[in-house]
Amino acid sequence: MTSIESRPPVSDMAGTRHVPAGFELWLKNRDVQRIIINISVILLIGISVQIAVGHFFSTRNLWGLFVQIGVVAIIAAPVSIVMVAGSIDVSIGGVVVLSSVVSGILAAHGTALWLSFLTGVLVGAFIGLVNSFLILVVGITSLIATIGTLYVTQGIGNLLTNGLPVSGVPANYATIGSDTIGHSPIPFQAPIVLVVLVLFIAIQRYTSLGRYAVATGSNRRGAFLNGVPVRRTITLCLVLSGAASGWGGVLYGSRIGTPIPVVDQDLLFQVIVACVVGGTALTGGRGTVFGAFTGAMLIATVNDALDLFGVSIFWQYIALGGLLVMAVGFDTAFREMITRRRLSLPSLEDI
Amino acid sequence: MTSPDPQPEAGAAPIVLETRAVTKHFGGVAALSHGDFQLREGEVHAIVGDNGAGKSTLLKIIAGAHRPDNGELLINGQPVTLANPRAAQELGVATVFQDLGLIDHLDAAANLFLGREIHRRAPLSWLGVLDKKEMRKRAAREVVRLKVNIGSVSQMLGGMSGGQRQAIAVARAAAFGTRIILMDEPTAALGVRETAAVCDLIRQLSDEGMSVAIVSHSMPDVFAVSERITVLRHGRTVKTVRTAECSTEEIVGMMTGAFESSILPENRRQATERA
Repeated sequence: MTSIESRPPVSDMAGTRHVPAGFELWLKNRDVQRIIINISVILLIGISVQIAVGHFFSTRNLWGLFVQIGVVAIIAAPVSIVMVAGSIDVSIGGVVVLSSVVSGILAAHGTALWLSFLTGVLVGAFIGLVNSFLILVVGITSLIATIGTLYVTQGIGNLLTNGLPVSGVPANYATIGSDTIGHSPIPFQAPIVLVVLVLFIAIQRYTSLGRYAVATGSNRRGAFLNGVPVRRTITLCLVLSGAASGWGGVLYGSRIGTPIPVVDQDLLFQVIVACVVGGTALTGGRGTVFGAFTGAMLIATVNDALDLFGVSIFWQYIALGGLLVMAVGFDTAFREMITRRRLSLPSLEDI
Repeated sequence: MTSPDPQPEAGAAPIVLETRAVTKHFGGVAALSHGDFQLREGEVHAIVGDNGAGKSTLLKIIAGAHRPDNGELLINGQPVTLANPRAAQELGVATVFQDLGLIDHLDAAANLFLGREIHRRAPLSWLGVLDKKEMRKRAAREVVRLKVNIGSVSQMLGGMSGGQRQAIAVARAAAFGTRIILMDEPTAALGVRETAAVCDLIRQLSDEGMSVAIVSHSMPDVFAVSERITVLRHGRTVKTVRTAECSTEEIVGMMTGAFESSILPENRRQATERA
């Protein structure tokens, strides 16, 4: 029997507030909620398609998702960190072009394949460095600076090839982008995407760079006053997103087989949508690499479902737009509702 | 010129921090034209003044956030030049700014260790890998020591109350070998209960031997926690007094120029205008 005396004393106002801890704290995390929602929606769509037309949960289709979304997933990982740090990098579209073209030309001229690929990555990292120079030293906002480099890199890619597809690329250039490993159904892209994903998740969760990115994006002045190397953080994030875009460009060229100097608008915006649907805030401070990955997989799943249903590709654009607006809209509306209830504020109609 | 402490009593605690006639101009505006201030070991010393009196500027100079144009800053008797707040921290001077400089999207432990993270042992430290477990453990210890009322050091700062945030900011400043703590309006945005908690925290820091300088508008709080008060007016140090030996009216009088009219010529004019 529990007596009244054994109960803890009735605490004051501050003490009566329920303090969440452990698992509950984890579940209250917005990033975690977003990831759970995304995975649920992916499974829901998958099961619906499986019941309606079948083929969704076939090994071929599932691995196919990786090939379809691999480049987007790879680039979205560091771009989400850039957005967490309060900047945005849209030069990725141009970097993909430049890196694929450069690696293709080098391979076509007989350079060892690994060296061609590495050069593609380094070109991307260099563009990231140029972006950080424009943003931190010249003082241009990241959106405008990276739109600038988007066009410049696209232009250079076109100049290098006279606007034509790169010719004479060896056949093995296409291996990592379009082949499967041995006789298995696993595409080369699958382990590549997973390795990149794990790398960036580790950077975000376990290194000071990941923590500094949050601090910089959340409260730049406060971070600086507390001794966070704000400029170094932004530079590193942009170099990483450049390098990953370079690597994504190589994969992109490899998937087509012959790199073409045309910016894939879909790719660029799919990366941004993946980040945002994955819970990354454009205002900085919030977002996860894994969330962005679930965003990318969600895009791939929706497109794949529409494919399997035999719906025209034009509907995919509408789905992509709808997905973005719905994901962000629901989030905002839901939170608005909760906040209003908690603070017992009048609803908008009452005002 | 006025000396901030005309009769230094015998056997008083040593001076740990001192500014001598520091000045600071922003463009053509003199934010501080003669800042004298002495902080003794273990005391709570309030800096008061009306808006624009230069008290925040003086605090920022001591914190390393502003470079003085002229005058001297001494820490433990040594003249120093502070390039940035980090340089001040390395000399044991930590500051709680008014906007706190906290990161809403990080948890309490991460905020406590921001900018001075503990890393895992080499070779992982070369990659900047954090020792989160150790930081959480030490943060929990700090929080208990300072009796900060938060549930878990893993809680995001964004979800905390103003008092809890203030306490985290103070805990952050008080941790890790700090000897001198500067606070800019520590109770400005707080409720009654939370203000009392912050005042308790300030007293505790002083009991632990730390020297605390607070800039504040709130006379009740100043009288509740401080041992001495330095009054600034129009960018100049008017006087330093012992809190126990004066009243709120006298302090307000010095702030507005109604008292101490012999010090500044324009005070006399304003005093006569008043009368």
